[in-house]
Amino acid sequence: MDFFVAQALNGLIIGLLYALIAIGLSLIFSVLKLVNFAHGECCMMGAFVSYYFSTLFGINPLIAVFLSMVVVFLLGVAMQYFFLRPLYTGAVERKDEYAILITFGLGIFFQNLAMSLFGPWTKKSQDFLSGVTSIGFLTVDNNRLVVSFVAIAIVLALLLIINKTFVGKALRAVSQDRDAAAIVGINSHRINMLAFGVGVALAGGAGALIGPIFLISPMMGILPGIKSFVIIVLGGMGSIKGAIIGSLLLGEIESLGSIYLLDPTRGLAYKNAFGVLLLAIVLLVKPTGLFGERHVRME
Amino acid sequence: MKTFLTFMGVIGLVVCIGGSLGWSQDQVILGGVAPLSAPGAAESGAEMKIAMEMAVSEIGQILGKPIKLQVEDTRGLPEEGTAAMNRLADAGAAGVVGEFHSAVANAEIEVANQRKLPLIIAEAWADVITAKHYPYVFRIAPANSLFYTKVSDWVKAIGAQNVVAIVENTDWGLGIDTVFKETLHDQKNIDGDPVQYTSIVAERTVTDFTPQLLRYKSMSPRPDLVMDIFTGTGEYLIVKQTGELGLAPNRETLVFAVGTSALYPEYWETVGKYGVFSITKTGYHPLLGVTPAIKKFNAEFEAKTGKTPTFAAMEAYDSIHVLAQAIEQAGSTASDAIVAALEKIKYDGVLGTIYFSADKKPDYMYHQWPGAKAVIIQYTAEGQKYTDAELLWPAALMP
Amino acid sequence: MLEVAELVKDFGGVRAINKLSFTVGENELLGIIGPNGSGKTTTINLISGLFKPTNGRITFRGKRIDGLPSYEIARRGIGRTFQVTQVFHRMSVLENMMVPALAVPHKGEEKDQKKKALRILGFLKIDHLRNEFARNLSGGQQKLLELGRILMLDPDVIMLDEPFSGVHPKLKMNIHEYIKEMHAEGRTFIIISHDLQSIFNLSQRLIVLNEGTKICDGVPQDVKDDDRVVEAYLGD
Ligand SMILES: Nc1ncnc2c1ncn2[C@@H]1O[C@H](COP(=O)(O)OP(=O)(O)O)[C@@H](O)[C@H]1O
Ligand SMILES: [Mg+2]
Repeated sequence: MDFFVAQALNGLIIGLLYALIAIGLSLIFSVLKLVNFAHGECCMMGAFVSYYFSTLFGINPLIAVFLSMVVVFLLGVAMQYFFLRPLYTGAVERKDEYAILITFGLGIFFQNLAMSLFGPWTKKSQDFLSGVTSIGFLTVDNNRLVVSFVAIAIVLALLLIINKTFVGKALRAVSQDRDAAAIVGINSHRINMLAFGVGVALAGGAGALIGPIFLISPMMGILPGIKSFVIIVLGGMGSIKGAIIGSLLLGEIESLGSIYLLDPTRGLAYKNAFGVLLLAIVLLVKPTGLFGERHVRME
Repeated sequence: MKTFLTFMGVIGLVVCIGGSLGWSQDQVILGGVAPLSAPGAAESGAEMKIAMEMAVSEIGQILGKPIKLQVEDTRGLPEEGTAAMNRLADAGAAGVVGEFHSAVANAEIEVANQRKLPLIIAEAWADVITAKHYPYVFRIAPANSLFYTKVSDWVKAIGAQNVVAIVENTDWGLGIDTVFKETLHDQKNIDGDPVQYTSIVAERTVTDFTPQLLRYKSMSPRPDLVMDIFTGTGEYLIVKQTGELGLAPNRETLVFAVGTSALYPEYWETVGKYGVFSITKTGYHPLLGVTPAIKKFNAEFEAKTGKTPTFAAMEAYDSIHVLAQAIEQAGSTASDAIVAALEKIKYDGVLGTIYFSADKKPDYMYHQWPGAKAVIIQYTAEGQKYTDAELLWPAALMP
Repeated sequence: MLEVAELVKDFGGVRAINKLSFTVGENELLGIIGPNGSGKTTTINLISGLFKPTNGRITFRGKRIDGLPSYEIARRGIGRTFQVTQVFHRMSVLENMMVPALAVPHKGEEKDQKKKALRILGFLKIDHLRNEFARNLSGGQQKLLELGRILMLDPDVIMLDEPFSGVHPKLKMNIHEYIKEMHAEGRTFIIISHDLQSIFNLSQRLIVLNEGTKICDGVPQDVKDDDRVVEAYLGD
């Protein structure tokens, strides 16, 4: 029982980190109707930016997380302005293909850029709070605790913004009907920019939070990128609620699955396959994912 | 018109052949293979490349011709290794040295054998590399069995009963796992108690080992030793997470970071205080004897990079020297002549007197340097250089 | 006040609008009719900026608006509804009403905007549905919501694409009333409809389109008697 609770807690913490990345991807999809295949690399960028903020300038690592989110937000705004805007001005014919190629290409570019800027070495960001906390039989790294609370706070803040503010309404309006939003005066280019910026900033924040826990390197974004894609397909493309539930589900499945399913001595060898397995099952039962409305494409 | 074309054709052909002959006669090309970027162990690759360059500039000439060193990045990926070997063969390399990852070396030896390109593996340990008995393949690094049977001896000698491991899903990791299963599991330790060895295989990309480490933590009795059979980021993460969960290192449980990544400064940057009293292995340690050759190499390497070299650099350095000497002794760059020379070679290198065995029993011994050493060390302070870490095994070497 | 000149729109090889010209005067109530596929919706899409014209000009209050983005045209005072209703399904009725409030550089506080939204919903008699999700409304109610939503922008010109199709007869009467009332307030209307009776009743002037060109333009009675119209449209 103790063992099970410890595993479940670990799964929950991992799930919260996934949620931060996946919500960003889902937000971008819901508004721009495209999958950002450079999402994992934006996560990596956030990790490096906060690493350098705190090691070079001595900025408190938690503040560095928020600064890195700002930097990655600006990066996202630039990416959307220079590379994705043509999709919405009618300059591009094969929109889906263009979106895949351009974001994928940017991802590879960021990997190589990071490799030459930061070197291939593994680095560890500064601890948020060093040491461990023990409650009874549970022992948890303090960084993971801090990160969980920060992740929850960011997710709640985001939900509040999306559901309660003017800007949030505009985001939802464009995501639900781009033309209808346009004819009531919403500048959808701005909303695209905002959604993309916020979406990648969430990934960047996740990367910065991961830094002291799972270490950073130029290739660190590949797996989170793939997993967040699996999560949003699982949760329903474009659904924020789906992204949250999907993330927690994946975190638990990976944590418990690699222990209780299959042969535990081989569990870790298939860990990354669990998500895909779960996805396959869900999609067979519900083709639009857990909370998916219907399949949406760019017009 | 037709005669004119033929004439021009012949001229062109002569120019081409002359050109290429002139090219290959002007210099001797030595090839290098190493992981210079991720997902490979880039820190090791970078070191090996520098060491190769040092050796080449020392040697200067082979057979009276200048040397051209061509180092290819294999990125820790077998397919990149195959491509690199083919590029080197196409470029006319006389021989190739290097490699760090067993899985990549395993792909490279196939090309070496097909294209008759002598290959000296500097730092990849899987038995299979020499066990295939390919005539063109030699190895300076120890074979897994050669060293890890000794690790098993040490484990038994400290009276451990419960040994657990997390193993990376590669030729290298699985090879070590096999050695422990065969030479440790169910064997009797120094107290006459049976040793239980449990391992979990993991993908190289896994970053959270907590579930499995929790499982090990809940074992009763608690494990005596956690074997971290990983390289790179994963190796760091296992030590870190083992520490965070309070599993090891402590009075009950030790942690052994088996991969070479534990010798680099990044180890301390990433594992911090959890690295104190962690155990690792190295192919070089001052207590093995500091010869003038090592002193000179270390000094030059440190002057050049500001870092302490690991044995991976030394192996790469020696490999170039061994290849160069073999070509000199062969008197040509013909591959069979080089192989014949390598089989007879005796070279006093940084790591010792290097020669290659012709034994085919045990099967990994063929074209293997039997003198390759490795020792078990333990860090005793945070940020410690591996050269200052304490020697644990073999006992005979302890001061 | 609104002038369309030599307007052309091609979709690939298909010419949907062919050299269409007409003007709409201040406070006019203009109807546009024509057989299916004659280009009525496309005309509205062009004026509201959802489509870019292949050729031609659209001028509003003396300024070119063709080529401007939709949101800019909306902000200048041209509102529209869709043939297939496009409300924000996963938002409440009130939230739907508040979306346009974001667009106009805030004419007052959020509280005032909310009051205004409730007033409009009251006018359209759907204020009791204010907290209902838009997707739960009937087709007719959604049409009203769509109409209410553009009223939030205080448009000078309102373009309605098939406002009576699929609407309960009782509700149809109401919509008639609303249009008349808003027209009396001074707004300009362009209404597309299949419902000939409604449109002949309502409009002061009618334009008939066929295959992307205007074949008739005049007061309803004249249009009814025009041979070309009878042939193209009323004939079958
Ligand atoms: N987005 C579009 N893409 C291609 N063709 C279109 C598009 N919209 C309208 N059309 C074509 O333009 C013509 C006019 O359509 P439309 O304006 O919708 O007619 P109406 O509203 O009068 O029934 C039709 O032939 C239609 O097929
Ligand atoms: Mg129509």
